[in-house]
This record gives sequence, C-alpha cells and structure tokens, in this order.
Amino acid sequence: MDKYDSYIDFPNDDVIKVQISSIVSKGLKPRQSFLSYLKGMYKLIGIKNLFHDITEIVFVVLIVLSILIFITISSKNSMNIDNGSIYSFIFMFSPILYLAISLISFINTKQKGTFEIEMTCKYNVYQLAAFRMLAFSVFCIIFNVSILFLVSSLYKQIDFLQAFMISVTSLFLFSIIFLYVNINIKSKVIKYFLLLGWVIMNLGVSIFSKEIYAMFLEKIPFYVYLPVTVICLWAYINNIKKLITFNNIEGVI
Amino acid sequence: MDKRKQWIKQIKLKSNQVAANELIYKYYKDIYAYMYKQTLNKELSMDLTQEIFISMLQSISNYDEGKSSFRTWLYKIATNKLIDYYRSRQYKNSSILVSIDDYALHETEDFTISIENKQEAQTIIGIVNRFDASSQLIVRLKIFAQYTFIEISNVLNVSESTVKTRYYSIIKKIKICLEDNYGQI
Repeated sequence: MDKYDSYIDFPNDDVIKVQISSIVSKGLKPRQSFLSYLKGMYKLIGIKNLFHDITEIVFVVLIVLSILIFITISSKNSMNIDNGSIYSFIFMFSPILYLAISLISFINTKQKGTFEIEMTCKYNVYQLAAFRMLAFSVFCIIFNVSILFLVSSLYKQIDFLQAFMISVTSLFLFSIIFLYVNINIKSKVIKYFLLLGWVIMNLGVSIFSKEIYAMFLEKIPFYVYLPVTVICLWAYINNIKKLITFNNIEGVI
Repeated sequence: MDKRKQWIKQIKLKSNQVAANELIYKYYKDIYAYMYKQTLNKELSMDLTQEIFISMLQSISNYDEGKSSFRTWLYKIATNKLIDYYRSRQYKNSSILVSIDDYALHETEDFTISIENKQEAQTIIGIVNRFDASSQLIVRLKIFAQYTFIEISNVLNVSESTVKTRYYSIIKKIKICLEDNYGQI
C-alpha cells in the first residue's frame, strides 16, 4: 500500500538513486583525523593570527614566572619548608599559568564584544580555543618542567621525576575540569566557582588534613601516577576534540 | 540498536558512505513528499530535498539523540530550509506563472480539479509564508507532515495545549485571509 498521497509526483527510483549519490558526494566530508584538522587550521589561519594576543600571553607568563621565582627563592630562605608542602604547592599551582593564558582569549573576546561575530566565523571561538589550549598545555609542561628543574636544584630532597608527574597530572586534571566547565556549564557563577574551587579546595585540604594530602601526593608510587596521567591525557584530548565540534548556538543549521 | 541508529553512528564516526546512502534512502520519499506538498513543483522539491540532506550530513555531528528523534530533527531542518527558500530572492523573483506542462495529467483525475486544487494550495502556502517561523513550523508539520500535536510540542519544547491553541488560531487567520482573498475576487 502506498502511504503517500496519489497527487505527489515522485521521481522514479533511478533518479532518486542518482540524487542520493550526488547528495552523499556533496555532503559527506571525508573524516578528518584530529591531527590533520589541527594541521589544516594551522595552514589556513597561520601562527600569527592563531596567537594574535601574543603580547598579553608573554606578559602573563612573565608575571607568573616572576611570582613563582619569587616564592621559590623567598621560601628557600625561610628554611622550614617540608617536602609535603612543596609537592602540594606544585600540585596546586601547576595549572595556574595554563588557566591564565587560556582565559585571556575568552576575556578579550567578551570585552571587545565580538563574541557573536567570532562564533559565526569558519573557525569559531571554541575551535580556536581548542587549538590554543593544546599549544598552551605543551608550553605549560615545558614551563613547569623548567620551574621544577629550578626547584629541585634548590631543594635537594625533591625528587624531580615525582614532582614532574605530580605537575603533569595536576595540569591535565585541571584542564579536563576547565574544558568540562566550559562546554557543559552555562551559569557564569558556577563556572567561576568551579575554577576558583581548584585552588580553594586544594588549599583547604592541604591546610586541614595535611598528612593525608601529603601522603596522597608523595606516597603514590610512580607506576600508579603514570596510568593516571595517561588517562588524564586521553580524557583531555577527547575533550579538546569535543570542543572542536561544539556548537554553542543550538538549533542553528 | 536499530539500523537507523547504527547508520547515524557510522556516519558520525567514520563518514561511512554506505550508511549515508541507506539513511537518506529511508527518508528521501518522506522529505520529498513534504516538500512537494508545499511547493507543488517537482524540480524545486528535488532541489530542496537535496539541500536538506546535504545540510543534514554536514550537521549530523550536532545531532543529539537524547533531545529529539532523527525524524523530528530532519523535519526541522526541512522546515527551516523551506522557510529560507520562501524568504529568498530566488522565490520572490521566480515567476508565479506555471507552465501548463508542469501539471501532471493523471488519467483518473479531472484536469480542472487538479488545477483548482493547486491554485488553492498555492494561495494557502502564500498565506502560511507570511507567519513567523515557529507558526509556520506548526502548520507545516501538522498539515504537510501529518505530525500529531504531541510530536509538534516535542519539536518546539512547549506544551501540547499551547501548540493546539496556536494551531487553531493560525487556521482561523488563514480562513479569514482566504475569505478576504475570495471576497476580493
């Protein structure tokens, strides 16, 4: 039985098949791998435009760097620093630089009032942010490693490898929370609260139950940290991928 | 998992051509019929149907199964495409004259009735085009896609009674416009 009304003038099956194959060839884009997508983005936009706010980024990096150096040197003099608090400091502050430079572009866009326009571009704010965040996370790892190198050369009791694992894990753990908050949570207050919450929560735990916190950071062996870090890294890359297909304006096709 | 879900998954993950073919084939006639009922033009309906499915393929990564069924999502794309078309310069510039060849002559049908029906349908379509997008969506889905009020309320995320009230008020307006039109003649 034909479910369609009789007056509808359908094309015949052969024409429909031709139409469908033409639709598929025009509409179906070959699946791009994440790396080739990033490569294409880099080729199309260029490094200069991807990091158009490089001056601000350098400025923020210098501020964070000077604060960290200041803290490192000044605490060297106070002499009553134990291992636990150094590790907890590393865990707490590893993602701060990342947070600061990642937020710059969002804040800039909001302040300039160009968010809506940028969202309609070929690569929208979130896709650009995904690329930049990936670059920033690589940069932050390098930055953290050099700071850790400095710290471990000043404090001989610090195990560089352990500190490095703590730093990387914390960076990716924070990045995952940051991305999740950015993609899924709409309320601004909750957004800020969750991001600030990282520092507040860690600070709270390290003050109120210092032993447990220090034990958690220090006593966990290397072979436990490694899978945790790898899982965090995997989750991070997955979230970044989501950010690329993320469409903020729902229903717009 | 039913076949449709598998096809969508394969298109999303692997850009699978076979899955895309199958999925489009399953819905092609539905969408074509939906377009034909509202344009009464074979070529135009084919063009619009093609554009709708291309849009569907390009934005399938945004399709969220939890929010609506695939059919509902597809009809929403189709309705938006149609509204875009009626707003376009192409439509406004196109001649309202229809060649006699465009009328398909069915043996079982009376030729004059067919023409009268088409003219009446075109008048109604012209009136529907004047409404805002969500009103158009309600009328088009109800009349041309045979959606129930509950289904439309799911598409628009409003209550069923709201859809009903709006639908009947739109129908009332269409009737008034039609009476005016014929009154003028």
